[in-house]
Amino acid sequence: MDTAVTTDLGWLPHFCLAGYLLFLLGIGLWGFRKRQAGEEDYYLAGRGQGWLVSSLTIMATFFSSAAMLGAPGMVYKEGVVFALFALNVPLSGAAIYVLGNRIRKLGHTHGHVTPADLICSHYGSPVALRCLVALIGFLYAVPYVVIQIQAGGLISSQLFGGEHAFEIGACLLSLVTMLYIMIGGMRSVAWTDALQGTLLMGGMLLAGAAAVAALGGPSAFFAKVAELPRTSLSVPGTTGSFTPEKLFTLCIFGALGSMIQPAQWMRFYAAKSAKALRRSAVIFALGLTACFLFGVMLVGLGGQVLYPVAKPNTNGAFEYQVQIDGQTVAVPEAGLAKRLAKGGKPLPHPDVGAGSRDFDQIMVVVLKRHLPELLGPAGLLLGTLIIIAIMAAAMSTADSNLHAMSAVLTRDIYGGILRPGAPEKNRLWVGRGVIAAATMLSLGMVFVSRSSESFDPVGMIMPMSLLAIAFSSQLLPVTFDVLFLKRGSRRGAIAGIVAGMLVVLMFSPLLAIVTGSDSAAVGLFARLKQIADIGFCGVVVNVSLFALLSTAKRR
Amino acid sequence: MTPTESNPTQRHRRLGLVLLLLFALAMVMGPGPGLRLVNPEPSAARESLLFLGLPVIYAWGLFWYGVQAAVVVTACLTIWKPSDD
Repeated sequence: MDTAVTTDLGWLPHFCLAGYLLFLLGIGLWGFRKRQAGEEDYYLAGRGQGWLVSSLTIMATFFSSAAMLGAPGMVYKEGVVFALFALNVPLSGAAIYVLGNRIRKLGHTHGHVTPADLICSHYGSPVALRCLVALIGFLYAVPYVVIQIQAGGLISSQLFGGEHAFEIGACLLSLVTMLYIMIGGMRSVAWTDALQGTLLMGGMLLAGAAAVAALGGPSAFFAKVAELPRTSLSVPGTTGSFTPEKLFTLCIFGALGSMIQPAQWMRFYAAKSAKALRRSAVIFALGLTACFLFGVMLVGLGGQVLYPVAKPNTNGAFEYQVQIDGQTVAVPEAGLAKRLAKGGKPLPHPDVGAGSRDFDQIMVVVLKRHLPELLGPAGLLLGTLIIIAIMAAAMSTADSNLHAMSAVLTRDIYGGILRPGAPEKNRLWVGRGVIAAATMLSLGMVFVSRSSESFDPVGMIMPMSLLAIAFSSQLLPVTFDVLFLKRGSRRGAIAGIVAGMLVVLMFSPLLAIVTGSDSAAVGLFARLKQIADIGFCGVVVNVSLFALLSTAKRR
Repeated sequence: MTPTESNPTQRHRRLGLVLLLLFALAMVMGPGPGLRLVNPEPSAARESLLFLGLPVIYAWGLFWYGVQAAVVVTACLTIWKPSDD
């Protein structure tokens, strides 16, 4: 397959992106004009969101650049096995009603704003548990914001080229997002999310259609996919990472963990009624899964055909390019798992990128190189729309997480512990300061990761998203206890969360930084990560300790 | 009410349990260990990688997505409604 197509999208994306960013700022200003005094309005839009805005903002918060860039990137790297990760979405949809409606009811009754308000009022822990829940919110939000900013940089570098395109794109995304949240609060975030949610659903489906069209229609598409290496069409995928057991735990904890993270939790409080959440659940479960399975996942598969990660050698066996100790070597399909286990990293096709994390660029590369050539002016417009949808996906998640982080740190830490008597107006300004500081911190992390060859805590989008979800999954045991069981103790809840978070931290890049990347501990946790999801490992320890201490207390 | 008739709450509870089990089955079979039932052996013929022209595990995923979707819609139309507010 000839991949030397160099068609680009011209100036249209520049104008459309500029117009789109200005429009978002306009919504921020509109939110500011519609504001009412008070934290409840700034953080929950007065608890009056109907089903349409609720469903779109929940979807937009859920679907980040991980959906638009990370998921096709993983299918491009691993093959069709990762498409099955889409089956976590119906579970998330069901959780919107089953968990969300109970959270909404309690929030309305008691005036809760953050997750810690509800959890701490149940267990009666004003400081320790509040700090822990806030810390989980922080540990979830920061990596998530970081990867959205990274996605903005990736799009920019692919679209505009040039030496500083990545930095300009990342800064622009961060600053515009930061401004409209600071100005308009939840109302602006929810309305921009509604616009972005619509765009990204359309963009996901269009991207899938574009990939299929680029290969000559559905029959030709699947005929070419059928010729891919065996590892691309079977479980556990190219690198051998996705065994059914790991995929299963990923789907369960990916779905539930991302539904009880602070930004989604606050959307449940903000919903006007149970009806709003019931409808949101159905739209989410049916619509978004379809966008995944019939949309972006097909881009990853099509990408494997257009930009092969493995090429047949003279014997007909497929060979992969693998980076080992800075050297690129060709490894046959049969020996791939062994080489990867020894620290090798598979590389994408050179036209997609030169580094092991450049698999994430497949979506933009396919759009940029193939759509205009295939469809002419219509392709140009289509490509531009999808690129704006990718930007929308990144911004809608970044804004929700920054906004939720502001609520968590201001209400739970500043107003709840440091200065309990602080006036509301004062707290709102601190909240805006938190948004600015968190944006700058995240931007700084992206630049540090980008500028260093040896230190890369961010890496590919999808693994970083899963690490963030693993942190928020540590709230699952207490959430189920508060909403359904009501048998846990405060001491059990605290011990469980601390232990769960420590386990997840062991899987994070922090361990390699502290102990060195070739330490025995890093090797052990890397092997554990091959078996099950990180969040699952944390929750097993979390639940065990929670149940043990709660039972001991009852006796 | 005759002894053989169950009241609406009991019916909903029973339906809820059936839907829960069906959804759990879809999770176990779709992206879970059930995948091993259709995953081709490394030595199997290349045709076994496909089903109706689609990669077999993709087709498997589509089927279980259909089951999940049916469960969520049924729950929405039956058991979720009465407990709304």
